[in-house]
Amino acid sequence: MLSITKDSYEKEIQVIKSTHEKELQKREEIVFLYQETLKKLETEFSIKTKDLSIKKQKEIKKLVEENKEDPSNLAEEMKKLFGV
Amino acid sequence: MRKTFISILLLFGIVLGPIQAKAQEIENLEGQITAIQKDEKAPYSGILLDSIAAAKINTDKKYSLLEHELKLDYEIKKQAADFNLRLSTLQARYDSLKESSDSIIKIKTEEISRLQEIATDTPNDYAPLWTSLGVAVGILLSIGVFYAAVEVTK
Repeated sequence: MLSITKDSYEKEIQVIKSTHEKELQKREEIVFLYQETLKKLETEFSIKTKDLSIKKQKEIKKLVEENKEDPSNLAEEMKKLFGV
Repeated sequence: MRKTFISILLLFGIVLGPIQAKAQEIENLEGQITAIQKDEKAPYSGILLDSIAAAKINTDKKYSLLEHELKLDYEIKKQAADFNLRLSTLQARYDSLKESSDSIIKIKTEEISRLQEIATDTPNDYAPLWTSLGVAVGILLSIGVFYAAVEVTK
């Protein structure tokens, strides 16, 4: 009778150990996935910001070239944008 | 106490009064933007911008919304990743505990069944013991009676 109880306890300890190990492994995977997602997001954000900055610079250049001689269009556009 | 309160109130009145009045003054004003050519006389006193500065201000204004949207999208995605991490960790903990408790319940059930089997294999049948005890007591009683009878006849 005692051996049955002892066997049972040993099995329980084994189960607790194995499920804990599984949990730790799973958590490591989750953290790795999270770090990868963050890296991906940061790269994506950096690329998009750079693209937007390039687009902005191009637009500034275009505006300057278009309005070099007569800045009245630019002044009108500023009025519209700022609600003056 | 009352004097202090009045002093603080007056101080706020003195400091904030002119600021509010100035803000209202500016709100009521209408700005002017006019394009002028080189060597042309400025129509009013103000700040002169060249095409580059004007283009930069214009474009900054246009793109500020896009930039903020981009930043907002990034922050939302980051926040979602954070919450997902927390959720997944909790899910892993829950799964682990569930698996562990299910297995322990199974082991306990098996233990109970085995103990029940042992208990039913050895029923409370003490008939041989009672028979042996009865015989022994009978023998001892007979010897005692015989001994008493012998002693009495003496």
